Amino acid sequence: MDQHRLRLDRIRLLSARFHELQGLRVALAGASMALVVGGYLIAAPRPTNNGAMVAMLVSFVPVVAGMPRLNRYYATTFGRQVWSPSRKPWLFLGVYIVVSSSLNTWIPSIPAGTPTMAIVALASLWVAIRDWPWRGYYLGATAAVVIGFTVSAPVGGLLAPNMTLGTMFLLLGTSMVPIGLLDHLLLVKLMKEARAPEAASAASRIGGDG
Amino acid sequence: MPTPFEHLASFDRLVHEPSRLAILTALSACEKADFVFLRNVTGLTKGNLSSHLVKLEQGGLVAIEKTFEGKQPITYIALTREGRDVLKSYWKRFDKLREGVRRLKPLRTV
Repeated sequence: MDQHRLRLDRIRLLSARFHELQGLRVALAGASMALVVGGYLIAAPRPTNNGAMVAMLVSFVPVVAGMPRLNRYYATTFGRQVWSPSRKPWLFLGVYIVVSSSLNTWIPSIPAGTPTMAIVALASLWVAIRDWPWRGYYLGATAAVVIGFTVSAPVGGLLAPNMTLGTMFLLLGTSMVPIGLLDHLLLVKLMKEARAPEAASAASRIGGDG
Repeated sequence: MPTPFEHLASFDRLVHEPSRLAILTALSACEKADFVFLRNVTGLTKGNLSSHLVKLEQGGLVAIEKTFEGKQPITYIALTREGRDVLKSYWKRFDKLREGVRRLKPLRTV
């Protein structure tokens, strides 16, 4: 009975997180961000935080171009699903805008992009806790941001002030690649495990017939 | 207080069948899903999934919508409001049954 319940829990998790687990999109975005921002940090004679921000925005171009192909891949391989109306991504976006603009207003000296990185770190931590132990690897993104903050701290930091944002984007992009790939692998694994009992019973039926 | 056996007898057979329960569970976590998704999640064959969906549709638990994306036909399946209520009450009874079974003491033989 408990095994049956476990399988149903797995199916429910898979269905509830289906879109989040389509991690190749995250991996692509991370790889693109790491390459473009990393390239900028290496190639620019004197990198600036504003330049890093522009490089980060430019890194979305290959992502936008590759997205339809990835959408098609997921739809044909795993199927289509529409999220429950209770999910409100715009609510998250609203909270993000309010929090980051408030932080920028209250602390004018805060470097550009810092609130975004802090929210990314918190969101990653939340995902890791919510889906523990399945998606514990999200702590990697939190760790990347924490390392970024540590090395770019005004006191005791290792980086020059003009390199802080670029380094943070580079670290975050790099951490997104394994996270996205692990999400994708988890999707594949959960799909396999969810249908395993059917396959096992079909195999036993075939065995029984023979 | 009803016994675990009374709880078991009160289960809706339409929902209790493992494959149909898997379909309903997958649908309960989203607004709607297409045939390919349900086939992947449940591991059922096309024929089996179709026959279970027909039964669930006849029971009023799911709604089936046929549409096109470009030139590709897509069949979306959604849990109806009744389906959500039935599934909710099923899980309530299931948990009561588990609790009841846990409380059962084995008979002592002399």
